[in-house]
Order: sequence, then structure tokens, then C-alpha cells
Amino acid sequence: METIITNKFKRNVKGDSFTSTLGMIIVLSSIAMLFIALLSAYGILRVRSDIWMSGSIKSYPLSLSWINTVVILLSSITFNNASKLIEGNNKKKILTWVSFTLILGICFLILQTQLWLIMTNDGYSITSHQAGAVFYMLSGLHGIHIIIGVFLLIWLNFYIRKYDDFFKQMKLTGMFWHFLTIVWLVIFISVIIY
Amino acid sequence: MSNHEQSFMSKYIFSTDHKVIGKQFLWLGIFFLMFGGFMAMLIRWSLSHNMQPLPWWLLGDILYQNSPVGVGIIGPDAYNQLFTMHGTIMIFWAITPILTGAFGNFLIPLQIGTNDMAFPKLNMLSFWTMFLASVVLLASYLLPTGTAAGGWTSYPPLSTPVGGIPGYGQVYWTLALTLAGTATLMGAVNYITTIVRFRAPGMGYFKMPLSIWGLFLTSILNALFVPIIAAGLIVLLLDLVAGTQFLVAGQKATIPGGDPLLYQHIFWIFGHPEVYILILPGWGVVSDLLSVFSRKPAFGYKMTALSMCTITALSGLVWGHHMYTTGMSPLLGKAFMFLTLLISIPSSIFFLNWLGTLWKGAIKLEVPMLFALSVMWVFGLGGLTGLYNATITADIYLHDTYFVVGHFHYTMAASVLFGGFAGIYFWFPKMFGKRMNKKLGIIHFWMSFIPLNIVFFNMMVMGYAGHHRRIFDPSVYEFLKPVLQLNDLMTTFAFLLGIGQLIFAINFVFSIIKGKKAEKNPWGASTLEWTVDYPIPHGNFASIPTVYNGPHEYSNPKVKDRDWISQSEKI
Repeated sequence: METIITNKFKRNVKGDSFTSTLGMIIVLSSIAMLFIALLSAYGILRVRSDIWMSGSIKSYPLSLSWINTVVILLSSITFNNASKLIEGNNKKKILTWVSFTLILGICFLILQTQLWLIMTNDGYSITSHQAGAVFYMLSGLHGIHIIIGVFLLIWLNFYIRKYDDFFKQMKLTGMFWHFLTIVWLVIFISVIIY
Repeated sequence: MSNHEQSFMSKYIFSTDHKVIGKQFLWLGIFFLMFGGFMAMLIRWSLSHNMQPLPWWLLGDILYQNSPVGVGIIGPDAYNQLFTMHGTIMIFWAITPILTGAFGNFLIPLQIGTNDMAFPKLNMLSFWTMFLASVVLLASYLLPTGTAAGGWTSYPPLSTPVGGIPGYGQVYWTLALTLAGTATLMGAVNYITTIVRFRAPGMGYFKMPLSIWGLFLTSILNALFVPIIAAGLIVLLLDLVAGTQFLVAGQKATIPGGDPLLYQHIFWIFGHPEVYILILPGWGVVSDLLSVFSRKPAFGYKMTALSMCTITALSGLVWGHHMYTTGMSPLLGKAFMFLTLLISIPSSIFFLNWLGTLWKGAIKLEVPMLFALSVMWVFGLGGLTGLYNATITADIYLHDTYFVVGHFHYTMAASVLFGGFAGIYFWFPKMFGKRMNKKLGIIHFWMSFIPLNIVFFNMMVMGYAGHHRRIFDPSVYEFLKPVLQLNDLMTTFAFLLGIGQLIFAINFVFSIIKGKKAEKNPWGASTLEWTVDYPIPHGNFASIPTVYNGPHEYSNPKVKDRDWISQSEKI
């Protein structure tokens, strides 16, 4: 079917970048509402409890989660580097930076699993106290979204190799990835170090 | 996008065409409407013929054969499961698929004048996620302990393993609801994006039909508040399967610091917007239909749309009125009461606009119009009784009685259902190319309207007399003895109501097969969906229409030979 493509009717053309961006904004606001609800639940549980056990996180896991935060921040920076190159259309360099992001993303997941294992062995488990339950719930839910993000990055990697017009795909993946970085920062500050 | 040949699978099963997906949602919704309706019949039987075997016409020879209290008898546990699943199925599997899923999918692209949804594949995924959710939900019936039984709200401790109802029914319920919520979210992403981006040239926001306004606001609420219930379900699921105790308090709790009230807050932060999620499309459809069948433009169109927006905004701030009896601070209670009562102002505005639309109109009492008018009646009653529930002093007495049950059945069940019926009768010619039988439609209307009012009005009377909403056998309570006759009356009329819906089902199926062929615009309506011929091709419009007029251009004196003009015609 032909659609009239003039400037005036442009919004009727499918697949233009802003339509997908809007879709992604709605998806992200939904996910944001999910985390806001859970973080408020955490706030209420914490305010009402007599003792909150988050202070009992040992120094070693704490430093591990600091490293993890640096890793995910770095992954956002590498992705940002890739996005900046899109004007120059330097496919090879873009691919390198996207691959860096992907590797950092996988590193984050591995470190996170390590963190979980160490903490569980230390007796800081999901059933030991509310602080543990909140920590595992929020970091686990964030981890699930990171897994989705890693799959998106793998897909993006293949997409860039195959096609030349990947601006939209890159923008959307970037939005999702940066959003997850922000969510992690909020969880890190409010649940782990506070 | 073109009208190429499609295989059976890609045309009817895994279709990305919004019209097919809309019909899939309609079938799913009607199936679960019948399913949930049948459960209502069983509930009524149990309430007035307590511990008596089911008769053959309620499938007494098939159901409850292994019941621990006797063959074909609904025991107390089974009764709990019945009202839990009746509520869950009616809200999330019948009303949502019909009003939001079917009408949303079918109407949005057609009424705003575009080829399809913004993300057709996501749209398909939405339906199949919903289908998966249905499978999980129905699978819970096969569990040895039966399905969930904690009420549709699933408050802890009823729903948690510590001190709750045994069995995995609650886990299945939680999973199914999470999946259904995901499906709703996918729909919401599609609807909002499509409405914002793909309106035909000339179709400003204030030239959209009010049905689209209702669906648009519903989708915004869905996108923002369904994740909240997801949060509640995640917390509940962890309590059920991972051994956490977020929602467990008291002596049985092994982890200190849990709070069952937390779930109630999360549930109602979602739950109150949810009632508007259900009813906003209904309001939109009714506002449009009143205008079509009064043959004059909708009175105060802009104010109707804006007051619906106001209600949408307010709906997120009033959840506390479901929780007056939880011991919340009186100041907070008063704030919630004030905000809740504030909703009656925009509601009154568009109610007045409905009356204004009817005023001096050339009213045609077609079947869709009958249902649209009945929505005014049932919603008016439901809205007015809402004031009693919103007022703390009255609500502390009325809380958890049949008064509340009557109230929310008037607003959520009756208004939405009648709005849905009005829509189905109205758009049936465009969906299936046939006319529904008018005589059967009128019989269906009266068989619905009269029994429904008798049932739900008497629920409020019984609630006022103190009938608690979840008791198993009302006949054992001394204080209910004077009103027990009403209980039997309600049951009789509930069965009549059920028979009435069978007439609808017969009419629906037979009209698809043998109905009279419908002309292009049988109602003389001016919105864009009536400018295309049945069967509508995959791409809807041969060329994207340009919109010149508002959505309710009826009896315009400048138009000579007829009393309507399409939105895409120049006057």
C-alpha cells in the first residue's frame, strides 16, 4: 500500500524512528513504575523495621558491588561512544564499542552471580531477613532485565553486521541499556550502600 | 501491508492484522464471559440452596463429583474458589479482552484512519500471551487442591503460604495474572503509540471519537498502573515459592518485619485505576452511541473528553478509600475521602453531557441505543452508591458487605458489560458483515436489564442489612433471617439473567452464519470505520483519508439529502 509521503503526512509512514522511540518510552515508563513500586515497598519495610540488616553486608561483597557498578557505568560509556560514531557511519568502530558494551554486560552478570553466591554462603540469603529478601528481589529483577538487554546487544551486533541502516535499532537498544544503568545506580545507592 | 494471499495460519491464527486480533480477543472474552457467568450461577445456587446437590441444568451430573461434602454439592472450599475465580475471570479475562482487547484493536486503526497498529507483531504477541495466561489459569483447575481461593484481591494472609489456603492454586493464579498483565502492557504500548502517531491528516485530538478517547486514557492507565500490580505479584510469588515473608506478620512469621498491609496498598494503587481501565472504554463507546442514535452531535464533546482526562488523573490518587478499615490515620482517610468525592464532579459533567446529547434528539431505539441508555441508568446508580462507600462514616459500616458487591457490580460489571454489549451490537456489521437479529437483541436487552437490576439492587439492600460479602451460608445468621426472601429472589433472577445471555450467544453465532447482509453504513454514523466496505482488506483504507469534520456530524443543516456526513467528507 502506498502512503503519501510529503512532509505534512510524514507521521503516517510506518517505522519512522520517533514512533519506535515513543513505544520504547512507554515500555520504559512501565518498567520504571515496576521498580518505583518495589522500591517504595522496600522503603516502607525499612522505615518500619527495628533493625535493618543491610549493614551486615561484609566488606568484600560490598567492594564487589562497587566494582560491578563501575562495570555497568563503563558499559553505558562504551555504548555512548558507539552512538556518537553513528554520524560518521564508521561501522567497524561502532561494532567494536557495541561489542565492548556486550562484554561488560556479561561481566556484570557474572560478577552479580558471584556476589549472590558469596553473600548466600555468608548467610545473607533471601530467607534470612527482610534486607536479604529485598536485595535479592531487586537485584534479581534487575538482572533479568540485564539478560534481556544482553540479548538485545547480541541481536544489535548481528543487525549492524548485516544492515547499513541501524540508527533506530541502536537508539532503542541504547535507551534500554542506559535505563538499566540508572535503575542499577538507584538500587545500588538505596539498597546496598545506604 | 498489501492485500496479498495469506495462508490459513497467518490469516486467522498468527495474524498481525489488528481486525483479526480484535476478533480473537472478542472470542476469548466471550468464552470467559460465559465461563465466569456460569460460575456466578453456581455461586447463586450455593447461596440460596446451600449444601444441596446441583440440578442437572447447572451440570450437577458432571461438576463436583468428588466433592468432600457429597456428590454434586458445593462445599465451603469450593465456594471460596468459585467467587475468587468469578471475580478474576470476569475482570481480567472477560471485560479486559472485550472492551480493551477487542474494541481497542478493532476500532483504533479504523477510527483514526490508519492501516494497522504501530507494532503489529507486538500486537499478535499480546494476544498469544493472553492465551498462554488463559491456559495457565485454566490449568489451575486440574490441581488436586483446586484453584486459587483467596478472593480476587488475594489479600495476605489468605494468599500466602504461612497461614493461608493450602495448595498451588495461588501460584498459578499469580503467574496467570502476571502473564495477562504483560499482554495488557503490550496492548497499551501499541494503542498509545498508534493514537499519538498514526492519526489520519486532519484528525486532531479533539476530532477523535470519544471511544478512542476512552481507549487512549485506558491505555495510559494500563501502561502506568499494571506494573504496580506486577510488583505486588512478584512480592506475592516470592512469598509463595522462594520462602520470603514480605507479607507475613504476627506469631507465625519466622522473618520479622513483614507487612500484609503492604500488599493491600500495592494492590489498590493498581486496583482503583483498574476500575477506570475497565470503564473508560465503556464510557467512550456510550458517549459516541448516544450521539449516533440521537442524530445530533455529542453535547459538550470537549468537556466530556476533558472530564474523562480529569478522572484518569484523579484515579491514581484515591486508592486509600478501599482501606478505611485497615486503621489508617484519620487525616489520611479524610484526604482520600476528599479526593474520591472530587471524582463525582467530572463524572457529573459528562453524565450531564450525556443527558444534553439526548435532549431534543431524534432518538432511535435500536438495540445498541437501548444498551447505551441502560448504561446511563446502571452507571448512575452505581456512581451514586459510590458516594456512600467513599464517605468514611458510612463505609466503616458498609465495608465488605453486599452493599459493596452491589455497588461494584453496578459500576464495573453492569456498566461495562452493557457498554460492551452496546459496542458489540453496534460494530457487529463492520466486524462480520452481517446484521444481528433485532428481535432477539431486544429480548436479550430486557432479559438482561430487568433481572440484573433486581439482582444487584437487592445485593445492596442485603448488604445494608449486614450480609457479609464472603459468607458461605446466609441462612444460619439470625440478623439475616428477615431478608432471606430477597436472597432467593436474587437467585431466581440471576438464573433469568443467565438465560438471557444464552440468547445473546445464540444470536451472536447465528447472525455470523445466517444473519442478514449488512450495508456499508447501517446506522448512518459519521466515524471513519463506516467508510470502508466489508470485508475490510488487511490495509484498511485504499488511501489514507483526510479528516474534515468532528466525530459526531449529525443533522448538519448544510448537508441536504441525509442527516449525517462522514468525517472524511467536505461539507
